[in-house]
Amino acid sequence: MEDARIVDLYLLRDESAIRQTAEKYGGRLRALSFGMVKDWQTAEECENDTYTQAWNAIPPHEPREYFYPFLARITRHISLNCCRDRSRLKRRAYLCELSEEMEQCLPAPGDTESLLEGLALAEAINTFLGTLNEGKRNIFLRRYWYLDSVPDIAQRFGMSHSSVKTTLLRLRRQLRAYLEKEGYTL
Amino acid sequence: MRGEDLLEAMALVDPAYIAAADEAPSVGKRRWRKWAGAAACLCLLAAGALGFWYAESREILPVGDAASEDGAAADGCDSLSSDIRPALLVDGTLFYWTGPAMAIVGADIPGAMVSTIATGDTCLPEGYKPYGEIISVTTDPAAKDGELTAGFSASGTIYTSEATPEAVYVRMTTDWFTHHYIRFVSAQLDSSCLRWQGRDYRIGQSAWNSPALLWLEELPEGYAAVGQLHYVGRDILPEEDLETNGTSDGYGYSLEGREVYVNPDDPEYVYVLAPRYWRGGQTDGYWQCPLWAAERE
Repeated sequence: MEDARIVDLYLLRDESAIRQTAEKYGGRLRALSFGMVKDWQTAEECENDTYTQAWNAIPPHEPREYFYPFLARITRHISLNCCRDRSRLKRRAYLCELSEEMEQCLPAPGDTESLLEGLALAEAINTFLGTLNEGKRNIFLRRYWYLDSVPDIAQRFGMSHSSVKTTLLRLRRQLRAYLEKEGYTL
Repeated sequence: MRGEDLLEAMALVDPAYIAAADEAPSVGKRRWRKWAGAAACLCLLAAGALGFWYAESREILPVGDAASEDGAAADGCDSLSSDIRPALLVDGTLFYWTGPAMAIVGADIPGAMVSTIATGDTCLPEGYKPYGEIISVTTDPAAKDGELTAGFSASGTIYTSEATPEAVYVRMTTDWFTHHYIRFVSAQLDSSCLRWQGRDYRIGQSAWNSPALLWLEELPEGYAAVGQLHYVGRDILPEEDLETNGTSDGYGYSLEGREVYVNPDDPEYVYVLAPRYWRGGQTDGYWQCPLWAAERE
């Protein structure tokens, strides 16, 4: 079923919307979550929580044209929280690793307040991503949005591990330079 | 913690980028591709030496000249390149391509990524009926109904609707891109707009080459709220005050019900409430919507 029609079902408060969503995107959302939590049962819980949150969010939101990214964003948020909250998943270390990588993009240490003017930061990241070619942008997003491992990214794009790492390193430096240029310094 | 916050802020990346990154890579650098490409060339040479049937089979598709000359049609969509914006002539009106940008990789066109995700429909909207086929593809301005101006090969069936004459759809049957409906829009519908006192103001999604809307944290002096936006459908030109055909903002959230602000002394702009979202909540802001058309043709 077309995304717009599924969203219409949500707007009509028709519970078949969830079934339609699960049929169309359930597998992708579960896989997205599994990539982060590395546990199928938890991934399934995150998938189901995604439907609940989507049900609560539509309306007021009407993501007709970005339905999958809308759902994926919810799944990502829930899955990240799961990683933090459930130490048994042993994913905290992986999150720390990724966080440390992102830390390298920050222009100055200890500048949480000025940096995290969330919206402006998101704008800056979006603008930065817009300056990249599609290939590099996708590599960056696979790592820091989908939280893929380096080997997974290498396999996906047919690159060597070292090439992926080098690309990510350069992109982090570019982002850092970009944020500095945009005034994100002490 | 700071890095983790940045990781969280990544959640607000443009949905178009997120979806694009989830698609199977179309331009992989897999080594086998080189060998596959070489093998394909050898096969083509052998086929050419064996007879004329291959050349005849190529003529089935109304392949555009430019695509044939640069070899794009044989290699797939990712090698197509053109800075020509595709446009289709239907009943004497030009309709502009809003479809995937992959056909024009290398064109360096702002907003191209957005187009990739925002369109590429797999279903035809209700009310659309077959109009005819794309009769030919040219790099010159289209001169006949059913002719497509483009820098790549294309074929497909055109669908029109009396109820929404500002948009036509084409079911692509081209070898490199098929089973999708591409939306073409009239110049009037080239950017989503909102209607206020007989004028159209550009809002939300940018047109092909139009700049992004200016976003302000504070409303300029003299502007006051006049009501809320009402979405009438993306293929419909708004007629009444405060109607819009803009579907959603950059976060995928609906424009329906957004507050609109105007200043009677400044008809050049109207402002629309445009909250920005992040993990800590949201901040109000405003889009500056410039005058798109003072009068319709």
